[in-house]
Amino acid sequence: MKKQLIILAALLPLLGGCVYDFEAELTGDQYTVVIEGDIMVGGTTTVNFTRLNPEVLEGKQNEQTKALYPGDPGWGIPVSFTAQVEGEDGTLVEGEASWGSCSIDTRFLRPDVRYRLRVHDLEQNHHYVSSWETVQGGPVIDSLSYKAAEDHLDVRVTFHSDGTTPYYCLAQDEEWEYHANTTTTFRYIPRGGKEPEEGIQIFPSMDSHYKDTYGRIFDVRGNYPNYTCWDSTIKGVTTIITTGAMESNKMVDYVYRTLDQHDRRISVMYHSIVSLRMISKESYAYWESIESASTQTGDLFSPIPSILRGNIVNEDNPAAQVIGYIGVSELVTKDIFIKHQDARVYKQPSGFYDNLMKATIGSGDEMGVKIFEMAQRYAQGYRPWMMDAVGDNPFYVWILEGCMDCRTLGGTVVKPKDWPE
Amino acid sequence: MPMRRISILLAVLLLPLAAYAQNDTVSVRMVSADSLVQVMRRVSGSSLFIARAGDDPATYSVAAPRAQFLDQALKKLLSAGYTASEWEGSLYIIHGHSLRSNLGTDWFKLGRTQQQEVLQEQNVAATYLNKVYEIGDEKRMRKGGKAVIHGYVRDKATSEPVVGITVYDEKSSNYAMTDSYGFWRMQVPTGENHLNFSGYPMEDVRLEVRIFDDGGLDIEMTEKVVTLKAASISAESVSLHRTARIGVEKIQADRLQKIPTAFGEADIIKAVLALPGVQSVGEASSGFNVRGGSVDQNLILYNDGTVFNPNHMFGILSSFNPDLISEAELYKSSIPAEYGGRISSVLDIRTREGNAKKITGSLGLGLLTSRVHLEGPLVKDKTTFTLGGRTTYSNWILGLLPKNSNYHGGKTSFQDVNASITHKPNDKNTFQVFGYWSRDKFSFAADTSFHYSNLNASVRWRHIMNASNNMEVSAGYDSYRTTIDGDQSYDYGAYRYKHALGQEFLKLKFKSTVSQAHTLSYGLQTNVLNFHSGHMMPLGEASGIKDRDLGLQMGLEPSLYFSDNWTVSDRFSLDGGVRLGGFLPLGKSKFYFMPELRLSAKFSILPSLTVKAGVNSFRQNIHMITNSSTVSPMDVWVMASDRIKPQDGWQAAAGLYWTVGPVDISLEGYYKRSYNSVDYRSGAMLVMNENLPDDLLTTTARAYGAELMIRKSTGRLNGWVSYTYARSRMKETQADDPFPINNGEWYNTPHDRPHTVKMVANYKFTHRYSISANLDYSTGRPVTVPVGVFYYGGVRRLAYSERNALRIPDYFRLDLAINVEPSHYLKRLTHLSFTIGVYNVTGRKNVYSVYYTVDGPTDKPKGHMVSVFASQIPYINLNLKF
Repeated sequence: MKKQLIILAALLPLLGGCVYDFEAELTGDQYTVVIEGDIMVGGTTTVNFTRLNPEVLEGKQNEQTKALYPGDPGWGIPVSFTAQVEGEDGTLVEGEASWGSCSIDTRFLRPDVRYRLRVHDLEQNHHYVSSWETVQGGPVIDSLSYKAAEDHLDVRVTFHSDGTTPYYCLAQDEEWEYHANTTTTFRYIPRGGKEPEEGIQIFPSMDSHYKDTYGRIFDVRGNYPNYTCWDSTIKGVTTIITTGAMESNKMVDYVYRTLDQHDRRISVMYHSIVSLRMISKESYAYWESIESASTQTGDLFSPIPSILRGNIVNEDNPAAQVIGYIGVSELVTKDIFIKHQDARVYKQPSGFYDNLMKATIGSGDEMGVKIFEMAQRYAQGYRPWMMDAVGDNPFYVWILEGCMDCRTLGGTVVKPKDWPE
Repeated sequence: MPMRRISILLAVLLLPLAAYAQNDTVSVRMVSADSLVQVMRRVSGSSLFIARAGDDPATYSVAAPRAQFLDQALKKLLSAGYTASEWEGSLYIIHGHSLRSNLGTDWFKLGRTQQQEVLQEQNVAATYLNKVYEIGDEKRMRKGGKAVIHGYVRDKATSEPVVGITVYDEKSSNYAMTDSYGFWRMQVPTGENHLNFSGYPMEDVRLEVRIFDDGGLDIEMTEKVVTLKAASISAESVSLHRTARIGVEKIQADRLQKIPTAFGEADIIKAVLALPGVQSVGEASSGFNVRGGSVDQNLILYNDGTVFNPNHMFGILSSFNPDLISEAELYKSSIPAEYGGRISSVLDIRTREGNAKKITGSLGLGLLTSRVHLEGPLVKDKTTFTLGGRTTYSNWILGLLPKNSNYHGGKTSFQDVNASITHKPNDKNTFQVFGYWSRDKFSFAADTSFHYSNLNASVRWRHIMNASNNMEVSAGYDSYRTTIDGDQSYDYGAYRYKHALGQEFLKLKFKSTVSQAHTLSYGLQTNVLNFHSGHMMPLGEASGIKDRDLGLQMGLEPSLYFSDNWTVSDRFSLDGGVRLGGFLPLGKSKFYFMPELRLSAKFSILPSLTVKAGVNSFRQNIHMITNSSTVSPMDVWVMASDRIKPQDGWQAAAGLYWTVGPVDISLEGYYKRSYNSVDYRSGAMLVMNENLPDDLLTTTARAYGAELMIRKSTGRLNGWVSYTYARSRMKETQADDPFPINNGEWYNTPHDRPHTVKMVANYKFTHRYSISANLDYSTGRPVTVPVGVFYYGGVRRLAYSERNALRIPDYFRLDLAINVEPSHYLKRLTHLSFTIGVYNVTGRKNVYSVYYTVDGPTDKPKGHMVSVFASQIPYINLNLKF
């Protein structure tokens, strides 16, 4: 054996590994149905019944789906159906015939009886039935809290249960108050237009010869209209939690939602409504398989996805795949309001101001919108925004009205009921 | 006066004769070398030639009985600086040089400097060719009988055993091959024979022997420089037509450097992957698949110890330090009866014993890894040691990766250490103590980190009982441990999870050459398995995790084996054996027992055309449960129990082998089945599952294929090219599952690749300059793709249908390297060689996996393919020898 000095040099960084687009012709399945909706003892059971839409694989949306869920092709094709909750004690609670979604009043179900869901597909005339399930008792939500970090906000829940089942399903709905990207106290009144009730004319000056030839700019109190909006999630995101590994059937400060520092949700006031229920082990396993098939992908150790098998059977075609697991639970809810003034996490995203400036007219070297341009700019959708000056000569920068209208960001100016000031 | 002169003249002439005739003792005094050789010629009757160097004034005196005169006279001449070389029946005695048997056909076209280089390089070790070797006691000579001869082959430079050397007896056409100790044994006719010793990378040796009785013959061989235009038959060719075993591949450590790999690191697993019938699910994936089998169905032995996870850095490097490997054998079909416990293949890796003459070592430094190794004698020619270590420090490189790379910001590191001491008190006994330890650590996300470690420790004693029998005893301990620290960003939920495998083993093996026709192997083995199924504990003071331990599973795995290599005739031989294996899960009431059959046959239609066939059955008492397509730290190993059956399998194979000149052509076909492999139910929790058997499904698998390989082992151009057509499918057979995977139909395994082409080629332009190429093409592996999108739990989800119904794009990779070997001027103190290469020359973005996401609310499902090495990777490897 000879003595060796081995020098190994890699000239390029290790692992030019990357992720690229993959195009493949996918064959859509139009027969598989999706039935979602646990039976809520003491509350209202909402059942959704859809069929997979094969056109979604091409980015298209079914016409029927558009009617119910405009702009979101992820929703399947709603199916016309009836649903009923059946108890082992002979209880039968009917829901109304519906299309895509129906509600069943299950407030008076007993916690000591097993229940199952029956669904009748009125289009295909297929009957579906879930397995008998024991009512999973309601846990206790001890508290909702938040933890502010430098670049994100964690929303947390602490709960416990006296029961033995360590599996939980947490759903949360959100509402939030936010503001438009910017605002102003300036108002442009076209020529001959009605003056605002409160405010002073600031441009052109009162003694100007053109004081109303091309319209006027007033300085009023209050923000631009539609400055404050509210928005909410369409449907709560569901998370599954297990305390099986814990010392006791308790979870402390479990982070169920993380919001980035640039997330508009936490810019003014954030409202989180948590619904928590206990689920069976089989239900938990089903949720796990759905999660892994959809979200735990792309890594070296990602699990291999497979067909999802729940507890719902098509009685007319037992071999048919039915997506969904119907459990029976008691639901508890709790909510929390988080003000930006308290959390102080939110920051405008980088480039925010630069982007805002791109929507302006008259900034920088342009030295403002000229008086004779005002009407034209107004017609183009711009509004006076801020004043600048060179020496003693002020000029006004105008901005697209949408930047000052919070509704352009997806919300509504209708304040939710019981929203705190 | 004239009478006196005549008398003196007669006396001078007759004196040697007088000395020659007296009492059968030959005696010469103060004669020249020429005269001495004349006497030697007369006494021995041999053809002898002498070439003196100029005026040699030396005189020689020798007195010895006639039978020993030649030896004694040669000793005198050798001590005076002469060499003796036998060539085609004549003995050449040359002062200061040795005989060059071949200058190459281009000799006269070479310039003087190049001629000098060739002369220096062809340092033909003629040292063994100067005598007739006698084996056994002449007094016990069995005329017309047979004798069992044996011996060791060692490297002349280091005294290390040389593995894989073919020993061929011209008289009987019998052959043997040196084992991992360099030991060979065979039965031959008594009398005069010629033994040929040949094998890569050693210079061929042909010895004239006189065999009287059972006995031994040890030789030393020297490394050779490949004769560029030789068309010699390789040792691989000889063994191809001489053994009945099918699907056996031998990999010599010297060949590792010739297979270009990522970053230039020689790697035994990458060399194995270049062979036909061996696949992986993709780059940077742990484990390999042999003839359609899954990764847990391969038994990987490292000096008799079992390695459960043979990879570092998620499969980029293997666990084995290439500086210390001696050789490896891969059994794809005919697995010898001494091996058991897995149903697909056996990879048996042996390490070197170390230089017995002087302390040497190597040091490697790189941007990715560093390694160091030392070896040498503790007691010269008796006790040697080897010590090697590797580490990596690649975290800074991972940080340079593009952000859309799955590894950006990740961390990975590993270390491994090999150590051995080998002691040979005499030729009959060899003792070895061996240890191996490795540790891997990596994390892709800040809150979760993975660690795993291997430990192998063994002691071995090999004893030559007599000329026909030898014995080997080994005992050791193997372990594989996994630790995962998770949820570290959530104090209350932070946990540590541990899973461990361990086994103690004892092996007793015997080999007996009972006759020319029968060589027996038999023995017994016992493994005590202990699997720590899982232990989860809190991590940190604020953690609320319950400390839970699933406890220890233990099992006893005894086995007996017996096999016979029966040479029925020159053309026909059988290799048959049986392995009686049992498994007793301790604490359970079940005992599993199954005999395993190993049978293969060979018929030589011509000396260079052979047909073989075989059938083998296997059993495996442990299962690896995984929910991903590659080995991961989350995998759980379980052993057979009262609720989990062992896996069974069998394989039938046949092959046709043809040698044309230096080219070996082989065509092998196989069909294999396995039963009671386990898969998991959808949604099953594999970790800390107290009722894991409830969540497991049984499956059956079948694989079949044909492998065509053309190999040339010698000459300017060497290497191999292979084409394989192979299918691998499985189906669920769980009786109580109302919704079996793919409705109970056969579906493709994750490693099903119908077409594969592989090529490993080296071309030597001159003795110093060569290029290497490695080509790998295969059909894309199967993946599962979505058939729809739906909302569930407020999130858009993907619905999947049949498992593994679609394929990712085909895999293609070409690697090239230029090798510059050192000049072989022996008088130089340093020799520099280097390799410049490019891995993935075409820069093809070979897909490792495909996954789908549903991103924006109006987007259709978007496919993403993950590519590990998505560009060319150049490297340079410098070797400085001194």
